[in-house]
Amino acid sequence: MMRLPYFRYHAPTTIDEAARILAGEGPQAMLLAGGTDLLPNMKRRQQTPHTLVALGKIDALRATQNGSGLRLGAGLTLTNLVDNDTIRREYTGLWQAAVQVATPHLRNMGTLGGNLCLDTRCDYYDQTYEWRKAIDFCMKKDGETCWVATASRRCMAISSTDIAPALLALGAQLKLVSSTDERSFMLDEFYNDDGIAYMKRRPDEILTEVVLSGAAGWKSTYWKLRRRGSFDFPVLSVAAAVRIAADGTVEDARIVLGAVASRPLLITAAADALIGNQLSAEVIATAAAVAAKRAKPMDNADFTLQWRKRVTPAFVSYALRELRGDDVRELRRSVARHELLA
Amino acid sequence: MNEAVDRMQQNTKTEFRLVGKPLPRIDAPGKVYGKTLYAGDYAMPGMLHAKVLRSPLASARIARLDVAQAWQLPGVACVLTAGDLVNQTVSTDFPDRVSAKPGQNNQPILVGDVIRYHGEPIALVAAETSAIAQQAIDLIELDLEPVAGVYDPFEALAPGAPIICGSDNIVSQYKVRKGDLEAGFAAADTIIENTFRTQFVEHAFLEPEVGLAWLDDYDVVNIRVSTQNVERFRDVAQALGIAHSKVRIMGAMVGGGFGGKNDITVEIFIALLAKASGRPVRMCYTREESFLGHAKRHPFTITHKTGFTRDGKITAAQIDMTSDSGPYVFLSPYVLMYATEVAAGPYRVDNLHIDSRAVATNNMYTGAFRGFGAAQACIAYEQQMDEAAKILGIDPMELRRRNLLDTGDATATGYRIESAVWIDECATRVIEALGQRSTDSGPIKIGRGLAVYQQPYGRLLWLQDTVEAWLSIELDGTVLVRCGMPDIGAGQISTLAQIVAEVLGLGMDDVTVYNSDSAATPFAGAATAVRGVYMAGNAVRLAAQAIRGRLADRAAQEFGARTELIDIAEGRVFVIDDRQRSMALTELIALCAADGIHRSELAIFRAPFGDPLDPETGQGQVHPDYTFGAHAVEVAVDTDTGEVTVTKSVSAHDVGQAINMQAVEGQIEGAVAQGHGYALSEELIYREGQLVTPSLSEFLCPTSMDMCRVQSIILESRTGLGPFGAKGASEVGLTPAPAAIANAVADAIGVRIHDLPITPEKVINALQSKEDLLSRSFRERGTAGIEEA
Repeated sequence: MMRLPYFRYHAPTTIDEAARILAGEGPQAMLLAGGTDLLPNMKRRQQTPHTLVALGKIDALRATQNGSGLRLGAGLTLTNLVDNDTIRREYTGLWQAAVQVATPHLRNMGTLGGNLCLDTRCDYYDQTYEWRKAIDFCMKKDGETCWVATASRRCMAISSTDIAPALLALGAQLKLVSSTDERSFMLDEFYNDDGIAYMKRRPDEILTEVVLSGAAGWKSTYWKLRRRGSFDFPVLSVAAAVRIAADGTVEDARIVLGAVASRPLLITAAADALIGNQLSAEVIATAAAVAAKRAKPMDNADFTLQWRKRVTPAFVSYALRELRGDDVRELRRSVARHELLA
Repeated sequence: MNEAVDRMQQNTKTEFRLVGKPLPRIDAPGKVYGKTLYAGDYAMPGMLHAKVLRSPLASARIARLDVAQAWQLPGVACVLTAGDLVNQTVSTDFPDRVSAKPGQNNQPILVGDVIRYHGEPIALVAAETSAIAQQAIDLIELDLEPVAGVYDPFEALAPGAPIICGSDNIVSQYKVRKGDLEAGFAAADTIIENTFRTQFVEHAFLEPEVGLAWLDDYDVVNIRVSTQNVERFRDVAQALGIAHSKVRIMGAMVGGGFGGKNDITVEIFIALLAKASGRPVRMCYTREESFLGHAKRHPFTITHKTGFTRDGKITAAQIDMTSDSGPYVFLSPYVLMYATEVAAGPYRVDNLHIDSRAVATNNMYTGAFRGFGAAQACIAYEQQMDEAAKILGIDPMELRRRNLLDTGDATATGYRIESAVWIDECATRVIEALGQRSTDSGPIKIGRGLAVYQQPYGRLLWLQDTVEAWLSIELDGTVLVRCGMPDIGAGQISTLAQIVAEVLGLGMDDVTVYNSDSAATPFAGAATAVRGVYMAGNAVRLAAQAIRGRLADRAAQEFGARTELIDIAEGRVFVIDDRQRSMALTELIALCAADGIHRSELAIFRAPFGDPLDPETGQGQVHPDYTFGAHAVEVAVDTDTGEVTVTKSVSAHDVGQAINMQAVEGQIEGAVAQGHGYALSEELIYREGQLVTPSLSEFLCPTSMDMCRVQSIILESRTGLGPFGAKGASEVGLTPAPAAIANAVADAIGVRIHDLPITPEKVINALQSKEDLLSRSFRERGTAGIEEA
């Protein structure tokens, strides 16, 4: 097997202690939550931190509070999210996203915070050291050039988190804590469209909590495209949430595309196409077309980019048809190999 | 009624105690409880850990190779490059038995000069830890000068192409000439031509290549390795320049082989390092190394031109096959032979031309993989039959039925099949098992597909295949079996135990099997070519029968009865029609021992031997026999996205006689899953020879979420050449599955995708070209091929 490089290991039991260690170690330190992303990356030498600060012993990161909304500790595992009935019933899109991450084993280890901070992915980056060396390193690690688009001045690695699009559609906020301050972000403001500096978390900060407002009146969904029914990262995802009046008019909506850029894309123009209308076939088609225009997949993941672009409107319409109340079980079985009923 | 069916009817009268029953395999508990020791579990005091330096380029010349720094790293025990080797190359098979020319089929052990594929080994390091070994590998200075390579077999055949192998890049070629092709085509009402392509695929066995080598007190190089073939000790000896008797290879339970562990993996590397360092050396590939380190399935391009009468009879077929051999001969001539032999499928084709060739490129070299060329051939001939059915307006099964071979008919190579051909039976059963057709729903279109096949088992007749097995019965009535046949997870040893227990009237627990040891167990060859049960099963059966015969003789003498009337069951020996006359088996064995009767037997089983095919006509017998069967699937295709979901998958095979029903089902289900992956998602992509899908996150095998339930239907004609009439059953689940899926997708969307794997992209493109075609009202006789955009 491939071996981990040597590193120092700390396992603090409080957020304060973790923040203090992180501040003391500087940018050479990284946080270790479930390790399902970081440890394989370290084996391939994509990341080579001198120090790991493990978060697994901090109980405070695993709290759940159920008030008018929902506060979720960043250390909850994805399995914890999947097993949470409130999430399944009221924040269905988040549940559908969580249940489609990787495999049961990886969900048992992988965390909410870890998935939100997931490293961006690229066929030229997620390879062994020897492989990357053989083609000459890319700009994301050890090199100068982006092999996806050699003229590009920024890294084109893909945001591959399932949870972020789902939470973005739900209007989630994040809380980050450092030894000196605390910051809150609307999730939409947390990400940058840059494969290297893909999030605004500073190296000394710990993502501690996700805050969701009440879901009354909202319905949400998450559709994930990948080749197989498990393991694979998304190569396209659609998260959508709508608030629909009794007469079927859409009062509010959010549509998010994942895995088509270096960040999840909240597409307000597509939501605007829905608001004030009923979810008729034409309205859905319009919103889908508007959303799909923003999808700019690159040739650095599974499937051809033309095809990923081409199926984007179909996926947006699947999501909206589900929110409208259509029976999409057949489509779900085909796409997700699972009906994913809330 | 033909002879085979008579034989079958006789055989069906026999009742077995154990054979045919779904008994738990004797290897199952150890695996379930995690007790089984695999090759990677073995360790020795003072053991070194080894790593390989591999070429990052596919075609290059080594300008400089400097290992001085690697040697100086503390903890490094040994560094080897080509210059340190006694023999530079290892021969990969018998040159004169196939069409390869002598000397051409040698492959460098370590490259000293010209690199011909991405991942080719250049240097070896053994060190105190694997981390140090890796560090030492990184310290080796390697300068490469890129050399123009060739990465497509058709480009490799073009004038002026770089020559990678031999004088013209043609590694091997065959032809079959039968009947009068022109007259056959002249008699046709419709001529249909299509080209089909298959891709490189990876075995993706769970257990990567691993082994441990050490020298014993007698300077014998001992190797414990994960292998399908312990008889590679001869190649190791040749590489080391020592006597064959100075190398011993021991296997272990294998965590998957599928053909990928038929040949040398780490054996020579660790043997060289153990010899050079004088210490035990262990090497275990990473998954990524495993992707680079062993031969892949041959991609094939196959063109069928078939003439049909209006009522669906084949009048002539012209078939052209080209496979990508990678830079070395390796097993390409064999794989090509299998593909050629069954190129026309299990159909009567009196006027037939086949031309096939394996071509050298700088892609990864290619070799054995479950189905071994016959699987690739099936993907083409069964899609061709469906295309013909569509054009002729005949039901696909009916069209097949009008052309199927039967017992006594001549195959493409003119061999008259002696065993039962139960294709129709199998096909009828799989179609029936699909049940009610599901209905289309919105963008989801339902399709159904069928494929039948002919798959050889056993080795080529001119390889004179034999297996030996040595049995002995202990004083307490238990039995030791010694037979070199490796168990690669298909249940080989359990099946051997079951056969022996059947013959000697014992329980499975009474039989202990020692296997997979080139010095201690009689030679049984490789666990490949669907020969484990056929060959080794026959050998242990012969040995058990000999022992039983001697026991029965002695008992007959004791009871004053005829030998034929003696039976042994559940630890007792008795006279069949007078059960009062009986004694404990142990008593009988004691009598035999007292008389000095031989209580062990070394038996040899010889497969039928024969001559190679006529080089001009390709006529003759290639294999001892064939397994026949059918596969049917129902698929749901999302026409918005092109995604294909297999919803029903039914696999029926005449396995002759299932020895262990559960093991046979296991083989079929596993093989079908591999067939699904082959059809839909698995593809190794080489760009200028560089593997760009180098791990399991890019090479996508189906997961449990992607597999529907596989229904196995097992028919038993008892006409095979294996023990109790068994035929080979370990590859056949794979062979027809991809063509069945391809046919189902074509049925669902009304247009065919000629290249595997059938990805959503290709489905969408095919739907698009169909629309384009319809809009141009494009109709032409015999034009079935709509090429990929």
